[in-house]
Amino acid sequence: MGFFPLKQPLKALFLFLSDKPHFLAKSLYQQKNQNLESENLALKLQIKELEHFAHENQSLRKALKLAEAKGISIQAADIITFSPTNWRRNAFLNKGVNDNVNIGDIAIDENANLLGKIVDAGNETSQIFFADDPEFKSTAFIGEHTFGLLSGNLTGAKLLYVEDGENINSGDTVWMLIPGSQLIIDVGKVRNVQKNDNSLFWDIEVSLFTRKHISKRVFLIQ
Amino acid sequence: MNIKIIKVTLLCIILLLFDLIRPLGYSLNSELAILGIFFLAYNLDLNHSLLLAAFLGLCKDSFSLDRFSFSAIEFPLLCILIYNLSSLFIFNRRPSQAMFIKSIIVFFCLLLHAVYSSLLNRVFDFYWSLSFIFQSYLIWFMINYCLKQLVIYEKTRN
Repeated sequence: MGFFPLKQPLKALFLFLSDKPHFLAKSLYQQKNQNLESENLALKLQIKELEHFAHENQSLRKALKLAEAKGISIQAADIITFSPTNWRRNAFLNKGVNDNVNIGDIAIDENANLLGKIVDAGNETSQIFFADDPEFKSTAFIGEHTFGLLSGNLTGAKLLYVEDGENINSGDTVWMLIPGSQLIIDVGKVRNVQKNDNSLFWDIEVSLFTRKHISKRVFLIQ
Repeated sequence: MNIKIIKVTLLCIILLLFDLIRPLGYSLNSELAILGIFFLAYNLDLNHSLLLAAFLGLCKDSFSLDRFSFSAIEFPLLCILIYNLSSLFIFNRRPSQAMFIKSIIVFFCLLLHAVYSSLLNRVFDFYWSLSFIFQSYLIWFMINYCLKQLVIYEKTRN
């Protein structure tokens, strides 16, 4: 021990010097940690705020007696067979009531464009009317305020009972709202707009985004 | 059972299956089941063609939402019409003339079917119906030609 009188001081110096980088790194990590904790807290506060808005939204909906916004699910189904007559556009699907398919469910294609609507549901199968079937009827909108009854006519569809068609132009998008939700799906584009002098309503022809039905897969919104 | 009846029945079933499966979707504006009726009427005697036409009509209408089976009545009536028109105009003619008159009868029957279906489904579109008639007529012509080539090939091979 006496042979190295400076052993302890040297040891202390060595320890002090080796601890310095750890000390520096520790403060760096500490700083980072603090930043992440702050960020985490800010996000938690945001989540609380959004939860509060969602709750307020539900209460207001109740107060105004609006339908509660439900979550939606998508069910894929395959077309088993088409109707053999060329004057109708309907088909049978391989999903039915056992798969939570109900009458009135809207069917879309892989690009979220309107395909049709379920009109009959058995246990294992269901029947769909495509949007260009003459018996297909549904409410559809153009722009923000104009709406009418979308009715198929084999070559496309028509929007019936439209009163204010002055601002409608060819190329405008036709869309519809999924019942019971705020989900909007595209139907097609306006092909022709005209009005007869003797008629109260405008004659609007719609070119549907899906018409050929070559794909055999449909997606049902539930 | 006559082998010809089996062949024609099989052809009609295949054509109806094509209508049900629709591999080309609705790009093809035609009903292949009605073309099967033409093959029935031209290749079988009246009794057999009436029975098979009614059966084909019932099969087709089983996929329809209507309670009444309209095709089971329409198809046999078309068979009777084709049979009578053929007896009236084709009897004792040269083959080329007979083929021409057959084509006219097919065209006329397609026109009748288009009018009947339009009235039944309350859809009236002139250009669409015209497209249906011409496409169906061309497909019938192609199937008829291919089948004839097949029959000639079989005969020469045997």
